[in-house]
Amino acid sequence: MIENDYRDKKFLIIDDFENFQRILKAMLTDLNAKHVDTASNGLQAIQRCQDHEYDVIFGDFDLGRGRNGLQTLEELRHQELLKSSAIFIMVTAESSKEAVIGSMEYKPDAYLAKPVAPGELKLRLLKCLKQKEALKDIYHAMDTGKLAEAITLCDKEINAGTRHKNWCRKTKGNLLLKQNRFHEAAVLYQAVIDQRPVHWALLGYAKALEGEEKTSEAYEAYQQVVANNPACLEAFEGSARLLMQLDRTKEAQAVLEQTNSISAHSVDRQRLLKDASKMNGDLVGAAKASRNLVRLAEHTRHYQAENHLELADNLNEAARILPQKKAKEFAKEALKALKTVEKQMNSNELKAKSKLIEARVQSSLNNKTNAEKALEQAEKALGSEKKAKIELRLELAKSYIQTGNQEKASGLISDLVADYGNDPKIAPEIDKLVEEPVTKSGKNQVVSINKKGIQLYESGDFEKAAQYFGKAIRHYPKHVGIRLNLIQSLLNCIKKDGLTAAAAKECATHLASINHITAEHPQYQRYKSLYQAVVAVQSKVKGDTLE
Amino acid sequence: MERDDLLMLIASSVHDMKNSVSMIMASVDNAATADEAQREKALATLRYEASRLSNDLVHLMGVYRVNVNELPLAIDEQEVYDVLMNQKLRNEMLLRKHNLSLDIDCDELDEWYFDAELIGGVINNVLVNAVRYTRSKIKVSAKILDNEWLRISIEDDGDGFPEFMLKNPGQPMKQIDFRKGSTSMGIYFALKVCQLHKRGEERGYITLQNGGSLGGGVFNIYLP
Repeated sequence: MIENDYRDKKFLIIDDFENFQRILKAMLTDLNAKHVDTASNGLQAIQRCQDHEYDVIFGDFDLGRGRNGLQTLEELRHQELLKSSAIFIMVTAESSKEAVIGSMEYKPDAYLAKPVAPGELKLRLLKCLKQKEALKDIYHAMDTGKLAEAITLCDKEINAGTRHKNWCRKTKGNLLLKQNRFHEAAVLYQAVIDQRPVHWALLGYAKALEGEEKTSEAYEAYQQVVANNPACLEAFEGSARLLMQLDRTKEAQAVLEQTNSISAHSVDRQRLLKDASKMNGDLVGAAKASRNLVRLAEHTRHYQAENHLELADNLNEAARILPQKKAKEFAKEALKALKTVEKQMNSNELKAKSKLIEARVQSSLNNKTNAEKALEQAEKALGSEKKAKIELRLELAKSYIQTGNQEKASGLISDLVADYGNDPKIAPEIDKLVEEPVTKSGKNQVVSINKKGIQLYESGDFEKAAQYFGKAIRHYPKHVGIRLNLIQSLLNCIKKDGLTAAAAKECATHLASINHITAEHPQYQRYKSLYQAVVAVQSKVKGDTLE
Repeated sequence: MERDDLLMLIASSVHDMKNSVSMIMASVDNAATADEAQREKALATLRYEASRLSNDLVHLMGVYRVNVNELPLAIDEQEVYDVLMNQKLRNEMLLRKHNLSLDIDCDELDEWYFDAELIGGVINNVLVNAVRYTRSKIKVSAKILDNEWLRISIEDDGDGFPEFMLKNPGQPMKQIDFRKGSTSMGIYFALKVCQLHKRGEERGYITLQNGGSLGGGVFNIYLP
């Protein structure tokens, strides 16, 4: 009988409190368990699972610093360290709702609330074992990648109305999503919602719509989930993802920042925040998100040496607009990030990419010699520039510009325009490198942007004008004219609607991003007068807070 | 909720916890004795007061979250019998020490939609409270009514609820009742948790009555 089978089962307890490990171990020993191991953090748990095949794992949700219980489970499943018959029971304190609502894909088999009572433990364990036994064919099909077969087996249980029908409905939904059968998934979830708007079905429905690329509908569906469940971070993440697609990047960033203040555990969310911040021109925000991403991804399946390269790049981009002292700190951190993964740059491509970033960082630190040296090493690793991948050629151009190699830069950019000037994906990337667009479509667009923006401005609708220029600057971040138009619109908004600290800060941030222009620049006079206006606004804000 | 009512609830709750702590301290001293009967009694008290203390803290946290609108629900299909059984098992030791029997009356195949953790917490609190006021037994039953409502009832064979509580369960008392302690905090929390369970226009609620199949207090939880 399963009931008395515990003597042959291998148990693992993951908890950062030794006391709790001891209590649980004693309870298991009372159930005749002979083999009980313990781990006090996620990393240790993963190591244990590499050495042993456990039948039952108890994981506390809150494991102190580092990975939480759910992330540990995610990692174990991802590394395929759990056999399908293994049971993972999540132990939670009352307040950790995130554990229960968390991710859909990596659900534990059961939950147990602290403090754990012996009888409760026994009952839960028995129930899990019985369930695994009853559904072992489905688990086996999923383990061996026979997803279609698993779905058929789920259907059988659902149609027969067995006590496992709910589990089978959830599982079937997940499997359909996994197989990109989004429409079928949407139909399944809708049918469940029609009966009862349960959380998992609402979330699944939103995912299915996202899969079907029904962007606005999917966004609405995620909003529905959030309304029902303000703790569902996965739904916030989904909302943000879709806001980005809807070109509502400011809202996306706001949602992600809010979510981050609840829990900053998710690598995917940091990646999203990094992208959103970058698109919004918040270079410091992007650097911070990048930093979190690298920290969270360490020792997980998300780890990539390239994350460090991107961190270095983002830190350097932020350094370029920060005041001198801060800039130096950021640039030094960037060098450190590059150094960390130096040994992993084992292909010429990676090596070139890393050296190109290094050249830019050295240039930010005013180390001209080091910058040139890194640039040479990059060129060497790159070989024939013409044959290199377009991503690397763009990087090279960026490095030429930032290290002050004007001639090489303009030569390369003309080449790029000749090769990709009509490519709808790459042309905008080329234009992003330079102040004035060089591609035909870019040139036309900037003309029409300025025309329409100025129309709005002249009609007195400064807010709309600011929004319009704000959107445009994302596509032409180096364009001084658009940036100045934006600042001017913002200043007029302040005049009209009153001064806030946030508004003053926004002006200052935009101004900082063009602080490199010199007296030779045709827009210099205008820059200078707007500079003084922003300084005045800022000192007024500071004065206000002193009163 | 009114700020004054909230403060009253918190005050009565803290008052109750202070009582529990002093009972715990006294029991620890008593448990150190060699007299076995006295020791058993002290341990029973210890366990009971610790359960109360734990419930009170859960409620305080819960009330805080209700009031800042952060209490998230995880409503899912639940096996009702399982949820009731878990509460019984959580209190096994407490029941044994007080020599009480607890029966569960529920169809094992019944399923309903609710947040198992929150509703489990509510049932647990009512149970611990019933331990204090019952004589010899407690009964927990659940029934699905017309496929529209789930009713969970916790009955005891004690003296029942005082008159003033029967009328408007969940309303905080206007002043601290130094004999009744923070019972009203538990009921307020129970009501809030039930009200979070909605379907269409319907919202969960609670009722209190006296009598029932055991002749004592009956605490009913209705979930749509």
